Amino acid sequence: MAKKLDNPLRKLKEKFLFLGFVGPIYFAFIMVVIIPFLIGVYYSFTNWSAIPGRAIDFVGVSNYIKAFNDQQFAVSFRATIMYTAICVLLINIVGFGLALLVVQKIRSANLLRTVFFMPNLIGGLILGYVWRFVFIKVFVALYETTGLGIFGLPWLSDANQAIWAMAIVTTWQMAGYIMVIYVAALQGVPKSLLEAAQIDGANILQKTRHITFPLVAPAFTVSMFLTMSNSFKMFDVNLALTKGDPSRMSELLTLEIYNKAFTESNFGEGQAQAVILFFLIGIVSLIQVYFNKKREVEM
Amino acid sequence: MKRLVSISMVLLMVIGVLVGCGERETTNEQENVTLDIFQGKVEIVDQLEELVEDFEKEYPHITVNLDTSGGGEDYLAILKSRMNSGNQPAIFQVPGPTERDLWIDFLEDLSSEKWVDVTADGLLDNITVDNKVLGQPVNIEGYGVMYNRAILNRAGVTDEMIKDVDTLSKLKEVFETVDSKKDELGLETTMGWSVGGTAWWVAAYHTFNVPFAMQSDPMNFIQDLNDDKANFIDNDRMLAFKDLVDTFIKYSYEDVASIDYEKQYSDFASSKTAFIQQGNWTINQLNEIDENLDIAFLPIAISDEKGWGNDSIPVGVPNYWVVNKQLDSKVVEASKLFLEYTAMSERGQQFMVEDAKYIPAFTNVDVKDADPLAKSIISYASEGKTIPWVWHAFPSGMNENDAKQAFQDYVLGKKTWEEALNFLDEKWDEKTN
Repeated sequence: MAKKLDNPLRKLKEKFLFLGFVGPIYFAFIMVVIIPFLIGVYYSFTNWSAIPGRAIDFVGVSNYIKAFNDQQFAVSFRATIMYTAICVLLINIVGFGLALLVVQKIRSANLLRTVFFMPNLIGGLILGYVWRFVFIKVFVALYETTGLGIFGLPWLSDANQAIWAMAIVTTWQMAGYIMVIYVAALQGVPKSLLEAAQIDGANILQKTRHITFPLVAPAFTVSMFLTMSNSFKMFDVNLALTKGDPSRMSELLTLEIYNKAFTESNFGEGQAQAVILFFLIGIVSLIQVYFNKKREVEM
Repeated sequence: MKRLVSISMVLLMVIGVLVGCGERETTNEQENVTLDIFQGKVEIVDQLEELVEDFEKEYPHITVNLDTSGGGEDYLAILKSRMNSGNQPAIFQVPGPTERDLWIDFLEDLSSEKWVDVTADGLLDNITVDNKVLGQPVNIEGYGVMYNRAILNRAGVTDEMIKDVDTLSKLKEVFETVDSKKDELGLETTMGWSVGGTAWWVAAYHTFNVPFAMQSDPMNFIQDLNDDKANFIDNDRMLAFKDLVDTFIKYSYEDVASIDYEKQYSDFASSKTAFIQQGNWTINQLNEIDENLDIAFLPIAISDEKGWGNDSIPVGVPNYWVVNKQLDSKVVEASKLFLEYTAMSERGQQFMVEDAKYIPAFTNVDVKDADPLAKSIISYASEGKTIPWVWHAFPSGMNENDAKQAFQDYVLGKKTWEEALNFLDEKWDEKTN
């Protein structure tokens, strides 16, 4: 009986606790994400000039029509898809490989983890400039001394190569981060299962394929989502490494949006492109998460 | 209930934020005036800071906050967000007609200021609307085909030959003479030019400016392009311009599409190239590598035509100081005082000439020992051999995006000259229709 009596009081307390913890974040989220997003969607239907005090006229969907007819938008769209595809593959393969390496019983495992993670601590802009130097100077020097064809490629002056170059830099930066996620997942795989499989005569490939992979599937879901949305939104490496060169062929969508809005003072159309990018990321991510979830198994 | 609580909490917080802001504003607004300056030249921040300190000593009731945005090109983007943030600067910079018209509602009329009378002829045209002077020129800059006299002399190009260059043919001749002795002179390439990398602006702004500046009436030509009464492809200057670009490509680096600015000026300063197309703003960086460079400008000629200005170099005002008239009148008055201080006081003139190494835009300022590049510009100007800077009147984004792309496409062979011109035409119309 007594328990039932203080129930309403406790419920109220719980509500306050909930509000106390979630409230501030909720408030901040609404203020800096939801409201700017809605304002942004509104601006994409106007001819906003970003000059305070100027009249803002509603122009309907004409910004969207212009965006879809824009040649550069199509070029950037294609470049972004290509870049994202390369990035998701490279980062996850390298990240998973590194994770497999550092969970082995080798003496320097902890040091390696730190080393692999470190590029992630460097900002994309600095990284872009550093790698620009690597591609322009170091690779040329390496080509002259070793003669290896891979160093002699026109890394930054050919459009497709430039996208690959960006993907390589992003992989170098992000693989360590993804590695950490995979390490956590790999450590969660019960030893007993692997040992049981070994007793049943499974070799290392079979163990990885049939036990490790399914059990780390949730980590794949998370990692692929992270790498994908990150690649779609890539800006800083793009700006510092290629700045769209050559001929704006390696200009990813975010840089194109920035150029449209800020350098061409065309904020409405830039905003429309940003909304399109939002839907693109949303749809692709949802599809990816849906299919990845299907592959996850419960223990 | 839950909703009510959350709504009231949100309201409380919002009110808190608003009250907080309100209080701060009122305490600041006593007799003391705070002046926010927002400028884009990172190279002279320290010197400007010293000028500001001395200004504050002279006028103790004015406090000046100097704010500089990193790296020139982002300035206009950051300015837009600053103006929208509610923390608007009192003094900021406007480069020319396009931005002037953008910010026209903010620009205070400065026509009655004292420095207007001592500003050199023609320098206020770009900032004047309906006979109202809306800004103060920061300085004068010029660019051209910069040459290293020591190398040219060694190659057998005499000073008379250098002086004699007033057509593209003669410019080519000088290039060719040096180029034929490239190996003996230890040159990596004859001329440093670039359409990409971190030096993309060398072509997209400065080279691109030349055929416009050589029009019989540049501003009229731009207006005709805006009204679609003129086309790139039908213009003799634009067609002739190909010759200059081809010359630059021929004598420049092999990978002219991706040469960085740092390589361009450091190769020139360390005598690995004999020419570059650059302006006098590079003097500090050049002198850091070699203090005793004997350098000056050759004209950027696009043809042999007389009367186009093929014997001239482009000289212009890169930026104007403007005053934000939408702020409190006390702040506006203080801003005007600051601009007067920079132009008319001895300390301001010392800043321009000695500290910032500017070529001043004012006739009341004496330049005693100018650097070699400034001297070269002054001598061209005194002979009247200058053509204007007109890209500040182009539609926004024309240089950064379209001209850059056109140059790169042409260099990489993806477009012919005619296709490049048509592409520019199309982009121009897209932006002005």
